[in-house]
Amino acid sequence: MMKKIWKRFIAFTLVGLAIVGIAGCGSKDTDNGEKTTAAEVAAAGETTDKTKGGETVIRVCWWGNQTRNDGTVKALEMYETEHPGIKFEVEFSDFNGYWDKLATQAASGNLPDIIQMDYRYIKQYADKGQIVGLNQYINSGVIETADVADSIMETGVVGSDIYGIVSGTQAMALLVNTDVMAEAGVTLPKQPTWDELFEAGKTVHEKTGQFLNIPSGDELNMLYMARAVGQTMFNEAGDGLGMPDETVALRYFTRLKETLDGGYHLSPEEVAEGSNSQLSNFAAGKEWCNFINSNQITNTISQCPDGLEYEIYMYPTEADAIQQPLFLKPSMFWSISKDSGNSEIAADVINYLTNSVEANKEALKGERGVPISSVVSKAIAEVVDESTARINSYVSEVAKIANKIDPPYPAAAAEVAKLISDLSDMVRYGEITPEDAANDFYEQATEILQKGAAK
Amino acid sequence: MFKRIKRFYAAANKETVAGYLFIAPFIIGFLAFSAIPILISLYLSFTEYDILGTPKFIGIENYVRMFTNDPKVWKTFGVTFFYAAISVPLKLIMALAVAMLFLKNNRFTGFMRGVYYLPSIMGGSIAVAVLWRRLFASDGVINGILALIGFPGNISWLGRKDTAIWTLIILSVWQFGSSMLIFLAGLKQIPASLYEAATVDGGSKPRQFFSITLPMLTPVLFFNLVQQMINAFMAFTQSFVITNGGPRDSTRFYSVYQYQRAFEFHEMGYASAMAWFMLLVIGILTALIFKSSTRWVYNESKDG
Amino acid sequence: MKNDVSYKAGSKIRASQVISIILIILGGFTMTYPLLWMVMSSFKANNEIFNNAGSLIPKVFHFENYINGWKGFAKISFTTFFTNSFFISIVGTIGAVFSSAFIAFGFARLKFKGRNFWFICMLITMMLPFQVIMIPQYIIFNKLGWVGTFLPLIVPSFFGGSFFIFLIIQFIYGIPKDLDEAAKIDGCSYLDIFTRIILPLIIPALVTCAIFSFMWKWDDFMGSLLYLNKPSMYPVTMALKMFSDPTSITDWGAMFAMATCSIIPIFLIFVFFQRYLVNGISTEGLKG
Repeated sequence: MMKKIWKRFIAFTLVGLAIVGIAGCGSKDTDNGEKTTAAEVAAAGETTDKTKGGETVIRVCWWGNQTRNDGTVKALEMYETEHPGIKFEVEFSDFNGYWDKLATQAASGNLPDIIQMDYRYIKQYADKGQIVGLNQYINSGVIETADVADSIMETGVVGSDIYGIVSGTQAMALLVNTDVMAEAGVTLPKQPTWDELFEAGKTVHEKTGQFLNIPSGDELNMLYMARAVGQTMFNEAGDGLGMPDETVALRYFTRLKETLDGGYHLSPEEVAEGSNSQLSNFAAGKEWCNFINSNQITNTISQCPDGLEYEIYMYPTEADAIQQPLFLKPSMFWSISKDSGNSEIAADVINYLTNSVEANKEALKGERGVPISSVVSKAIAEVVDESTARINSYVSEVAKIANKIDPPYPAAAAEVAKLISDLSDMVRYGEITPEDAANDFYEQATEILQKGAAK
Repeated sequence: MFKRIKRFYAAANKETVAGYLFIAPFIIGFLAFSAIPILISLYLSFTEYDILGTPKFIGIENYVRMFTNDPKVWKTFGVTFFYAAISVPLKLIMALAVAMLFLKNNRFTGFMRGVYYLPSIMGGSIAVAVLWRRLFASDGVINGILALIGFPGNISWLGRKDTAIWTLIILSVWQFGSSMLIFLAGLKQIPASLYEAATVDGGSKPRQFFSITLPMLTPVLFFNLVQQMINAFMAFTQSFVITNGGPRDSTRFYSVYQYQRAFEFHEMGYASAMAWFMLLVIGILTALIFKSSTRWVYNESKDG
Repeated sequence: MKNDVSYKAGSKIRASQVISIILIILGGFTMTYPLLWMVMSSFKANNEIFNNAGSLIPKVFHFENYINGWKGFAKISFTTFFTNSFFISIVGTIGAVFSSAFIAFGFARLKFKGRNFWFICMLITMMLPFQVIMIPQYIIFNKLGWVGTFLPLIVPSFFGGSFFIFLIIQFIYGIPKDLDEAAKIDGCSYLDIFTRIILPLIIPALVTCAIFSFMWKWDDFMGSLLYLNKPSMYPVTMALKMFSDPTSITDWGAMFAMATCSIIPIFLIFVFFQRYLVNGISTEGLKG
C-alpha cells in the first residue's frame, strides 16, 4: 500500500521535474557560462525575431521620459520610412529600472540590438563582452565621424576599441540665481575658484540668508578637485586610486566641514531632505547656486518660479590648479549588444541618429545633450527652446577649454562613490573629523578597487 | 489494472490521493517556477557573480564576510528589526480597533471602511513617495499643523537620523487597511449566537471582547501577525523611494542594502547570501510563532 | 433589548456617539489627507505643486493635466495602459483566488504524507525576496519563450499564491469539521465537500483574496519591467514611473493626474466587493 502512495508521489515529482527539465535545461549551462552557449541561444531567439514577415526586426532600448520617448520613436520611424524592410521594436523604462532589466537580459543572453549606455557602466559591459567594439564600423565608414571631435569619440574608448557612440554631450556647471546674487551685491568670474565661491557664499548668506550646498552623494566633486591638480580619481588600470595621497580627499572633506561651520552651507538635515526631494533646493529658494549637469538645467529651471533670472557659470577650479578640471561628459552612448544578429544594420541606425540633420531637427532636438556632430548641432540651434539654447552655448564654451576625460570607471566605482557619500555624511553630522575621513577614504577605496580588479 | 485502481481508490488512503490531487497545482507551479530559482539562488550564495559574467564558486566566503567584515549588514538588520518590531503591533492594533468600529453594516460604516482602506491602495507608488516627502519636509504640512498647536514647526523629520525611520513607520501604520480587511472578514465569521448568549448571561461589552471576539479571532490574528512580520522584514519600496536609506543609513532596510549589493555593486553572490540569511531569520521567527500557535490559536476543526 | 434602555441613558449615548462620529470623520480626514493632496496637486501647475505645498486648493484648476497625462507617450495613450492593467489584474486574480482555494482545501482538510513538507515549501515561497530569484526565474521564462508576453505575469497565478493559500487555510480551520463528516456519510466526494460546503462558507476570505490579488497585480512593477518589452503592453504602474525619470523633465501635474486615475478602479472594486465581505454567512445555522 505504501509502495503505491510512494509511486504516486514519485510520479508527481517526475511530472514536475519534467516540466522543469524542459523549462530549465540549458539554464544551468548559461550559469556555468559558456558565453557561446548564451550567444547561440540568443541567436536562436534572434532568428525567430529576425524574420517576422520578411522584415528585419531591430530592438532598441533606452531610459528617459515622454519627451525622449516621443522624440526617439519619431526618429526611428523616419528611419523606417527610408529603409522599408526594417522594423523597430522599442523598449524604454525609467533610469533605475533600466539597469536592473539590462543586467537581467545580459545574464540570459537576451539584450536588445541597440542599447543606450552610460559612462558609469560602459567599461563593465565592454569588459564582460556584452557589447561589441565599434571600430570596425567606423573604419568601414558605416558610422561616419568626420564631423565629430576626436576628443568626444575618445570618451567611448575602453581598452583598445570604441564601445559606444556618444549621443549627446554635457558638462558640469554652476547654476546661479542671479537675482539673489545681485541682491547680495556679489559677482563671480566665469569660472570661480572654490575660495572665491566660498567668499561669495559668506556674503550671500549674510545678506539674503540663502545657502550653498556642495554635492556629496557621489564621487564627482572629489573627482573634479583631483583633476584640477593633475590627478585622476581612478587609475588607468582600474585597480586603484589615481591620487598619490590624501591631499585632495582631505581638501574635500575639510571643505564640507568648514563651510558648515561657517554657517553658509545647508545643514546636514536639509541636505538629507533635499537629496531625495523632487523639488530641487535651488528651485525652492534654499540654495542660491547649484552644482548641476548641463542636461538637467532645463528640468531645474522648469521647477523654479516664473521669471527667475539665472546664469550658467563654470564649475569651480582651484586657486593652485595646474590644469582645467572641466571635461565634456558624454551624457549617454549608443552601443550594440553582443546578442544582436544584425550589428551592421544596428550600426547604420546609430549613424543615422548621430548624423541625420532631419532626424535631429524634427525628432531628437538635442534632448540627450549637445549633438556630437558639429553639423547637426548647428542645425538644431534654430529649433530648440531658450534654456536648451543657453545650455548648448555653455557646452560649446566648455568645449573650447575642456580637458581630456578620466579613464572609464572600473566596476568597483559604484562602491567607491557610496563610500565617499557615507564618509561625507559622517563628516557633516560631526561623527568623524575630515582628517580621519580622508584617511579612511584612501585606505578603504584602495582596498575596494584592488578587490574589484581581482575579480 | 482497472480493478487495481478501483481497489486503490476504495482504500483508506483515498485521503492521501485526494490530498495530493488538491495541492497538485501548487506542486507543479512550485517545481516549475520556484524550485529551480530557489536552488539556483542558494547555489549563487556560494559564488561570486557579477551578473554580466559567470558565477565563480568561492565556498562560504560570502557568509564569512557578512558576519565578520560588513557592519552594514548588522546596521541594516537592526533598522529592519526595529521597524518590524514597532510597526507590526501598531498596525495590527489599529486594524483591529478600526475593524471593530466599523463592524455594523450601514452606509456610513461601509463608506468609512473605504476611506480608512484608501491609504493601502496607494501602496508604494511614486506618488506616495513624493507625497510623504512633502508632508514631512521642514516646511511641510506636518510641521505646519504642529506649529498651529504650539510645537516647534521646523523639525526636519526626514533629515534627522533619529526621526527619519519614524516617517516610514507612520507610513506603514497608515496603510493598515489590508490587515483591517482581514480582521473584518474574520469578525464576520464569528457566529452572532455567541454574542447573543453572552448578553443574555449579562456579559459586558469589554468582557465579550476578551472572551468571545479575541479568542475566535486568533486564527486571523495569527495569520495577520505572520504575514505582516514577513512583509516588514522584507520591506523595500518605502525605504528605497522615499528616503533611499535616509540620513546615515538610519532608514536603510536590509533588503535595500541587499539590492544595492546585487545591482549597484554587481555582487549577486553576496546578495544571495544576504537573502538566505534573512530567510533563515524569518523562517525561525515564523516557526516560533507557529509553534506557539498551538497554545493560543483557536482551531475549530483541529482535533484534540 | 435596545428599547429597554431608558430615555435619559439614550440621550447620553447620543452625545458620546456624536463625539465619536466627529472623531471618526476627523480620523478619516487624516487618513485621506495625503490622498487629497495628491488629487489636488493633479490640478495644479507644475511649479505650484511643490512651492505651495501648504495650500491644498489649487489657484487655478488645470484640467489639462488630465488630458496631457492621458496622452501618454510614444503615441500610446493611457487607454492602452489601463486596458493592460485590467487584463493582467483580472485574469491573474481569477486564477489566483480559485487555485488558492482549491489548494488550501487540500492543506487544511486532508491528511497525507508529506503534507508538512509541501506546506513548508509554500511558506518558503512567501519568505523569499523577489530580487533573489528574479534572475533565475527570468532565465526560465526566457527559455520557455514567454518573455515579451503577459504569460510570466499571469500563468504562475493559476498555480496558487502562497499568501492566499495561507489565508484561506486559516479560514477553513474556523469551519467545524462536523459538516465534512456529515457530507461524507451522505456519500460526497472530497470535491463535493470542497465545492458545496467549504467554498460557500469562505466567501469572505475569497473576496479578501480577490481584492488583494487585484490590488497587488495592479501595483506590480518589477514583473512588468522585466517581462514586458513593448511599451504598448505596459501597465499603468510602468507608465507612471516613466513620468518621473530623474534625468529629464517631469510633468508632475500629469503624473499625479494619472496616479489619481489609477487608484479609482481599486477603490471601486473595494467598495463593490465589500458587500460580500460584510454579508458573510455565519456557520450558526449549520451547527444545529
